[in-house]
Amino acid sequence: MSTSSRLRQLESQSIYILREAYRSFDSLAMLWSIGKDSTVMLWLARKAFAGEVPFPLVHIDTSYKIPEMIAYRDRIAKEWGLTMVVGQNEAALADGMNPERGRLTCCGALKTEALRRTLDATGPRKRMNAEGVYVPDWNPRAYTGVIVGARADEEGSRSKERTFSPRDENNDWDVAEQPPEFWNQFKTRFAPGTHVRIHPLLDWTEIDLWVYIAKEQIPIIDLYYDRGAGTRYRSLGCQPCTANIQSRARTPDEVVAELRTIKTPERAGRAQDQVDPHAMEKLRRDGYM
Amino acid sequence: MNARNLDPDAHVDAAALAAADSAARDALAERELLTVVTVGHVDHGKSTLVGRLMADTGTIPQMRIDAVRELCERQGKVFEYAFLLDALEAEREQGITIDAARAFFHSDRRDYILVDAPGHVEFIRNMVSGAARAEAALLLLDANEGIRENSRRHGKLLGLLGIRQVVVVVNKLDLIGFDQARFAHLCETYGAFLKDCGITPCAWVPVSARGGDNVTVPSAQMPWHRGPTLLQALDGLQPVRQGAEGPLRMPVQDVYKFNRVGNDERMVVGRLEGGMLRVGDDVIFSPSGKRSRVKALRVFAAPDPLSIAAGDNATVVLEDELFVPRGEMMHHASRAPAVGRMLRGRIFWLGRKSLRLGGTYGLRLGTAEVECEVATIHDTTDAATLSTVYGPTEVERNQIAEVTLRLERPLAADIEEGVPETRRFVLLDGYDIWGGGQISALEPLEDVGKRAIERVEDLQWLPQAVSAETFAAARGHRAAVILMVGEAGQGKQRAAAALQRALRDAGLDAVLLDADDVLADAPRDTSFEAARDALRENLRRTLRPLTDAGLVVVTTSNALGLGDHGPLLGELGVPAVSVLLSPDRSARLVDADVVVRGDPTAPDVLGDLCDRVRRIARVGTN
Repeated sequence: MSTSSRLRQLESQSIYILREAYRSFDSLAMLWSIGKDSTVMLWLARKAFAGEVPFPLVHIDTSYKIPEMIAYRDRIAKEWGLTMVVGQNEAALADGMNPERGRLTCCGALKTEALRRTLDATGPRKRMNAEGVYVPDWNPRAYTGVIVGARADEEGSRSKERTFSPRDENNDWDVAEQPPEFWNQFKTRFAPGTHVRIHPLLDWTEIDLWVYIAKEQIPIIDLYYDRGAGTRYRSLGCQPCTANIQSRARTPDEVVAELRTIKTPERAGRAQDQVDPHAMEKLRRDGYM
Repeated sequence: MNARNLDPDAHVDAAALAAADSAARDALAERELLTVVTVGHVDHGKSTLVGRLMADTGTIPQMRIDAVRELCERQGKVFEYAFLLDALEAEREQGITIDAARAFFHSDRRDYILVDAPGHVEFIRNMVSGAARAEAALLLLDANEGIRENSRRHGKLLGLLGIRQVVVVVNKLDLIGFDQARFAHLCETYGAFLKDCGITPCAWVPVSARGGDNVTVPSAQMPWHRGPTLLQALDGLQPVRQGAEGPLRMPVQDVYKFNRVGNDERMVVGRLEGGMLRVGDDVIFSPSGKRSRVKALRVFAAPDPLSIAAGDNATVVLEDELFVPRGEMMHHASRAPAVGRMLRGRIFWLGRKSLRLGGTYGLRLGTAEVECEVATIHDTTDAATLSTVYGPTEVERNQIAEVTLRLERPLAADIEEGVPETRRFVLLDGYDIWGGGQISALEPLEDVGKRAIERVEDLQWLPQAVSAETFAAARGHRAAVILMVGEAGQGKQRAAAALQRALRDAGLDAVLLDADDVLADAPRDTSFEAARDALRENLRRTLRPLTDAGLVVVTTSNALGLGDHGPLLGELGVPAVSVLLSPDRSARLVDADVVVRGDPTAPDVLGDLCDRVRRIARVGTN
């Protein structure tokens, strides 16, 4: 890649941010949704740390994920030597929470609440052991730095994010009072009780990710490709709330070609976005990723 | 959930996919990216303009535009392009953009990130965080309203932030009937202001964002406009790149040692902010001065490179197992950075609490973080009114100031153009970054006044019977002090005499005051420190009646440390210019405003000094 190229600049900035995050937080984790964005972010972490990933990967399992996602997660975790931590709102599931109780209610319980309690260590965490089996996590500490694969181009409210974005005790995000961020100097000092979300992919677009996946040959989950049925997923979530699209794209290059002609937004297949025009912002203010 | 055909366009036929090859992908990967900030006064139509650009270039999916149109219809509002950007509920209610949102947009030539900086005074800090990452700016004016508070403030801030590429967009030409003369007048007035800020705009573009006139296509309404459309003006901007040809600068970010089988090397990491690094290079770490040689450069999942360049994240294995902490700067022996503990620079301050003289703050430059004390506040300028105060005791929110900071330990940094990343610093108050600035000088502590003067209890001065205002009205100027400093033999007295004559010719009343005049009374049998304190006090007492009477005082009293001048003049409340006479090209004194290398009595030198004095002694300042 030439020095002026967009992808080289994006990659360079992401790696710099990941190294800043690792340096700044002694209790750091990366959220891995198994989707393409956070898998690219995980790949960038391997580049930043010479093949290691020196912090745990956290996945919030709603129990409604597409089954292939869980199999892929565990396979990659073993192959790449990841520290894999999984959180789940077991109480809400025991109580029978499901999307029919209202999509936003379900997201609130199984994603937002599960995430909050996994991060602050008040809820159950499971960790993959050396045999590849999930056992209760011994680490009782809250994560004070959380690396998240949000992008500014995905959806309006995400374009207001900072690279290092502080959240208060309640996970709340005060949009208007964010301190300034400039010249690659990020917020790395923080008051007790707050935590910081770190966004290394903020400036990437959907098509940047796919071009990068193609160039780097990143083994993302194959749900993103047509596997013979003439459909693929463009955005991954829970099975009941995620639609696939008609597409014959079987490789990253073919996805890039398709995206150059496509006119619909990326998250059009995500049902919770359609409930209310401000649904995403409300979810994000409460701590949704 | 079953497959839904969300958009007929989403179904691409197999032939088109077969054409997808790595060449097309490479073309995308190599596309150039430019970050442009959009700034201007509130309601001058930034959001509308950015929304227009995104829509008219086909960057926003039609579906999204339609969704906003529908929403407007449902809410009984007229659709506006600004709504596309004002994605947050809170903003729609207030009608203003509240944060530096990023928007994406592409032309045939390249991709753009448009940083939509808010114009409201309350959110000026967000504009700075937006502009600070930008390579160019769109400065928006309202043709009807003309130059407003933020038009001036933003121009000044862009100049300070070092953004030299500015396109001025004059919007709402429809409201003035596409009047060429009014457009030309606005360009002339605002152009003169921008010139004072150090900005020469690349283009002046008249548009109507609402109607799309001259945004992406020329407008029939403005046949008189011979210049570019906005899109052409944007495509004419150049990316600002970190240079591989510049000096090597790598702030040490961290040191890794993972102790895994096959990976137990000690690796020094950081981003190259300038220059090139090769295997085998001899390198120095500053300020510690430690030296080593590059044994290897590592990258993941690819062969190890033999060299890397500015912009690359480096993973460096050294020949020696050095302890190199974060904050050290790696460089070559040639073109080394400056190292020092007294830092002078121009800053902007955004904190809710003022920056106080004598206060302690955090300072970050590259990866280094040190505590610092505000040793001198030379002046503050209000970015809106551009009025300047000399020797204040605090820098308020939204002010620009010239300060000298005393660092708790030495720092390596650049003080010249060329490597901006290692010349800029930010200031922290508590947990947050509230200010930033650029270094103009960096020196060891010993070279300047070691401590601020203790305040001598104020004497009961005989008050002047004629007020300063009356003197100023009679003379046509206010008081000022010119400090001629430099080693013995540089001709300070000759220069001072020539300057007095030049000032007289320029209509300013000036008097000369030599160090010897006030040294006469200094006690000779005490320590140097005590003698200096006495000298300083004598100087203060001598200066007071002269400046009270509105005179310009030219002194040659550099027996004082330069660091003492700031506090001294702060007490007098009189603007000052310090002039260093030095034949040494490397001389950079923290407290000198002007360095004269050649003949100090040359007409151009005297002319420049007279201009400066006239500016600071102008009636209406202070």
